Amino acid sequence: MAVITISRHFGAGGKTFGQRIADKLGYFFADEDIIERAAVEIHVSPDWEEILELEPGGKFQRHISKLNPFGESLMDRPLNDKKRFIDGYKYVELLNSIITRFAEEGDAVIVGRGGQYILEDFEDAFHVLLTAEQKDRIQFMVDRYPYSYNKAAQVVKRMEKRRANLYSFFGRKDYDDLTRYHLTINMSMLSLEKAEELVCELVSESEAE
Amino acid sequence: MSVITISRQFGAGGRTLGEMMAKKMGYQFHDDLIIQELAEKAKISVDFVKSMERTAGGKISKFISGMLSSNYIERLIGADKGYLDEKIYVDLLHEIITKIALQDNVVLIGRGGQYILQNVNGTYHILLVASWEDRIKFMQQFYNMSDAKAEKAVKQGEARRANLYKNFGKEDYDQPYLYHLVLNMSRLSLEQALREVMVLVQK
Repeated sequence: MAVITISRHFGAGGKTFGQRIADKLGYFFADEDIIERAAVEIHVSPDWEEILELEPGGKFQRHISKLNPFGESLMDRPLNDKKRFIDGYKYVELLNSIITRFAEEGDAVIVGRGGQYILEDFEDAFHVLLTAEQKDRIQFMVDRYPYSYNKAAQVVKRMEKRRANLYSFFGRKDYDDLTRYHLTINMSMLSLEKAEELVCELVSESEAE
Repeated sequence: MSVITISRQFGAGGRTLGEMMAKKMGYQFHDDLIIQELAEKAKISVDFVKSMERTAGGKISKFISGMLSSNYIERLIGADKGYLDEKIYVDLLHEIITKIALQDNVVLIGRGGQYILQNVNGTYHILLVASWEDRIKFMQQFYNMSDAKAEKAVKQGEARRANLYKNFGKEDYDQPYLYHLVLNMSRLSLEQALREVMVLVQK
């Protein structure tokens, strides 16, 4: 029984990577869009408070899986966070509840949203940081969006600022401190397959139990 | 069929992991002390190289003793025996580490291996990190020091590390983009770390 959090420098890849690991291990998968959707649901609907109180056994994970994620991903949402209707600190509280529940139910891969902080002292959690050289991270954007290289470079910068912004609501600045993580993987130097093997190896002992 | 360089924050450990890798994976292990000694002595005495060739066993393996030709040393040192030149030292490190890397299945620790062998095919670069507290603990256990002394020792160790890299003109030695993998020895057991390395180099 293990939980894997995946954090990354913007453009190092993480969502697809996390999904593939979850598939490989048969784990529940939660990326930012899924968590975001859960946060909004809980915030607006009183029934969800009860659901959060449910006994462990995978019920919360299952409920979340039934939700349809937003049509547009967090990435595509306008970068103006002033539109957010949940206050930053309340949002982090929600993240805390959601991610902790996922972890308690076990066998989950969680991408982003401060998982490395929320589950910092969680016994069965493994924290992975994905990094890549700047030029590759910019290329990541160029490959996925109709941006010029320069525009992509600007977007990467802005997304890193958003990352810092989220973490400021956790009161943390050490998100690039390598000692926050078990493993830091350089996606510029290693194939996706090799990176997956390295992460799966982390939990191999837990799996054997 | 690989060469592995291990770089590490001072007090994060490395030698033990390197030795375990040598044992479990059948790699040849060259730690920084040996390389350091070689470079220092080679700077000082041409005779040293000759005496190495004569010595059978000893700390320095036969392989290394064949590495440095007396011609090379004579060229570098010339008439100034014992002259401490940083450029010569870095050149020597380059020479030594490049030659070590020509062997397959080698693990070497420290001394700028991650820069000297940057972008060399079949070479993997690993960085070992640990929390500040654990690094101090490491010094305390290893050298039986008080808290204050151990903290000072770690600070000094990091200063010396920074100094070595200054000779290479580098400051980014703790940046993850230089390495394939960063292992946090505060969170991973030695066994876990070893397994990660084995996964890294297996085809």
